[in-house]
Amino acid sequence: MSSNKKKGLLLLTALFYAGMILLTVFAEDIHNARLPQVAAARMIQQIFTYERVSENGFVIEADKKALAIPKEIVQESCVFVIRTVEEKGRTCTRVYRVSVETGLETEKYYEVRSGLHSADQIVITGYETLSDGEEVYVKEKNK
Amino acid sequence: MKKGIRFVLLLLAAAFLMPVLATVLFSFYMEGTVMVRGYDELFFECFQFYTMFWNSVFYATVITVFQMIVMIPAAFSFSFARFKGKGVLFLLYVILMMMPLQVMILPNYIGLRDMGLLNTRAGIILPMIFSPFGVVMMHQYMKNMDDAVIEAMRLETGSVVRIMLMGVIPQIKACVYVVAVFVFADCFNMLEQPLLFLQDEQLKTLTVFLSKTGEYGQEVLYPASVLFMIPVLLLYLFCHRELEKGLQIYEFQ
Repeated sequence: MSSNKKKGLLLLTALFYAGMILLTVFAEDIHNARLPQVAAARMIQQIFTYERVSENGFVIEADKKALAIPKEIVQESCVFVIRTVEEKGRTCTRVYRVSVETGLETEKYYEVRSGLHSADQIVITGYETLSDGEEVYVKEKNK
Repeated sequence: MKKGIRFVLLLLAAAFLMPVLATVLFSFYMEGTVMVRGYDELFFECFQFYTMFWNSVFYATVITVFQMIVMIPAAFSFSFARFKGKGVLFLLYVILMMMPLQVMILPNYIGLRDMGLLNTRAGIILPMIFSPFGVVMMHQYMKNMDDAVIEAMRLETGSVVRIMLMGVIPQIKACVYVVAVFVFADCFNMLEQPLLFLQDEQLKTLTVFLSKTGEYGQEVLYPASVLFMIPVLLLYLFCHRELEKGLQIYEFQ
């Protein structure tokens, strides 16, 4: 084989392996950059004030502590919840639309009556354009 | 008659090439349209592919290098050394070479388990280093070498290693290329050993990835198959002249 052909083949081989090395190193970062970027947080315990009738028949104010979600993330009684799933040999983060029954409210929060557990991570930013089951990149996690 | 033979050979060549061409075509053509979505999904969603690709390259390269280091002196000994039981030992090598892998896999598994090498890279590499195929092939090549070269080297030096390195290896360069290409391709394509001897997904090879038809769809497996073919193809293109020369000389001996 002429030396030019050999050089060409060596260059092709080097380019192929260099390409594979670059993809190995950067593919995950490129994949994450292409995903919708969201922020997630756990629900907090909030004190809600409500009115109840005492034994004497008087209406009194009472407080109770309950799970709370920010009002702005609730869209049509649904919020997006983060779930970690195993697929194609890797761990990926997906969002799922979950119906929430809300109760009492404060200026900023709704009480969560059902639909969510205290350990659930909910999407607090970037939820406007998400769809059910979509893979996302969680840029910050607040506990 | 010549045209007839040429036509038949072309048909045979087409029959061999069809699966390869189909693989390349279907990697770009899905659901009735030309697309690169399969490559996009493979590169940016199937990260296990990279681990398994580099495992395949690592095992094939290491095994080929170490097999050459073991095989050349072994073939040299069988060709030029005189010792008792040489014929019986070589016959055992030939019988071992003929044995299908399925016969040897269970003794290999038991041996590796007893040595504590299951689920390790050494468990894949060590059994493959001592393959008899290359020894038998090189011995056939070496025994037809001109003895005058060996005699001339003996006059210059008494060192057997120098005779082997300076006198014999330059004469059998074509055979070394042939064996190296076959060994690399064989190791790159191995499936049974990674499936049986390895449990850790981080150690498995690209052939295992390609066998996961339930986990990955066609749109990923076709591009993966195309990329799987490239390393061996590049090696063949690099060595094809020496390979053809080596095979021609081997045929006429």
